[in-house]
Amino acid sequence: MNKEEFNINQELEQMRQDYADLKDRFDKQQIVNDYLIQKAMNSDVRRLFLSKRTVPLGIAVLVVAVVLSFVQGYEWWLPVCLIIYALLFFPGVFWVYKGVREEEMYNGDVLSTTETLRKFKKRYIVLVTGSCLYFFVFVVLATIYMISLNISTELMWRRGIFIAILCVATLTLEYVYAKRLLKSCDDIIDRLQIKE
Amino acid sequence: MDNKEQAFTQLVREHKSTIYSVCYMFSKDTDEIDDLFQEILIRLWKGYDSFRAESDVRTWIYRVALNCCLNADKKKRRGGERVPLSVDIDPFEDTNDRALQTKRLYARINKLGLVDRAIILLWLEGLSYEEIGAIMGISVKNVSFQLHRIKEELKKSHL
Repeated sequence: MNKEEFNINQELEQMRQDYADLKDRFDKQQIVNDYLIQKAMNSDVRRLFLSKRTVPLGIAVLVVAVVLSFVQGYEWWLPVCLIIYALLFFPGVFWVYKGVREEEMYNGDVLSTTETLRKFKKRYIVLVTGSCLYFFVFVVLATIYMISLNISTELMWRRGIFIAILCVATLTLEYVYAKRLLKSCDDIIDRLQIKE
Repeated sequence: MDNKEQAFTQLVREHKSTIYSVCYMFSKDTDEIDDLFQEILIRLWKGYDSFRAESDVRTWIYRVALNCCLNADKKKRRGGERVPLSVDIDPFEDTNDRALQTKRLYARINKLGLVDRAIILLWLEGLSYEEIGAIMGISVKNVSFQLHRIKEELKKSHL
């Protein structure tokens, strides 16, 4: 063993010793109290699976909106647009969650969990982008239509542009957020999948 | 509290320092440790039923904790109340001898990337290559390769 190897081994042993001391220090601390554990047990944080769980609620809202559109005698294209949206978006949500098991998020090994998360995020970006684009086109067409009705044109334009900007901003934020997570997943996978 | 809740409480108390150490190595301040610790507890509880069919509790805790630290979006703070942990030492601020020793370890590990940090942490913990492989989802041969590479990196950073 040369001097350099000896030094790094000594250094690693020192790190192990430091780590053991650190854990020993933490062991002497209370760290968790009953309230914190109870809070974790009562928590219902399931952000990742939130969209899937809200699908029935979303369908209910859309059904009510479509029925109301007909009852109120709105133009035919409004409920039709909503129905098309529902037919595209809700199956899309199930496609996004295909193969994603909640237990795996809690129990899976690092590589498989990261791979699953990556697939999920990739599909999520597609769904969000598609959904926002659809909504954007819908808003533009609705604005043009309302202007054609000659009802306070300027106000309608303002509202239309405001909603369109909101839509693009939401799309951009969602895209940037998901893209960042995707990159971090890619980094983890690249690091672990070294050619053996 | 039912039996399951009691068993979970006991498990958390037994492994609190392991969870805290992982959080520490992946955090920049005590608030971040508090957040990660709470998130890990929630994930442990959610996965508790499916874990009980498995064998090694330590492997499972590391899986959950590392998945949380590697894949969590730390900038997106958890909603709701943050409960401070009952710790009367501040590993980031204390200045006594032992704290300096801790900071030196933290500084060395923090020079590494996230995945390398996770692997070296498991190695420091004294886990076998098989256990590290099971936690990370890679083969024993790959663990050996990764550890060799990380040690080389540590050596370079020391020079």
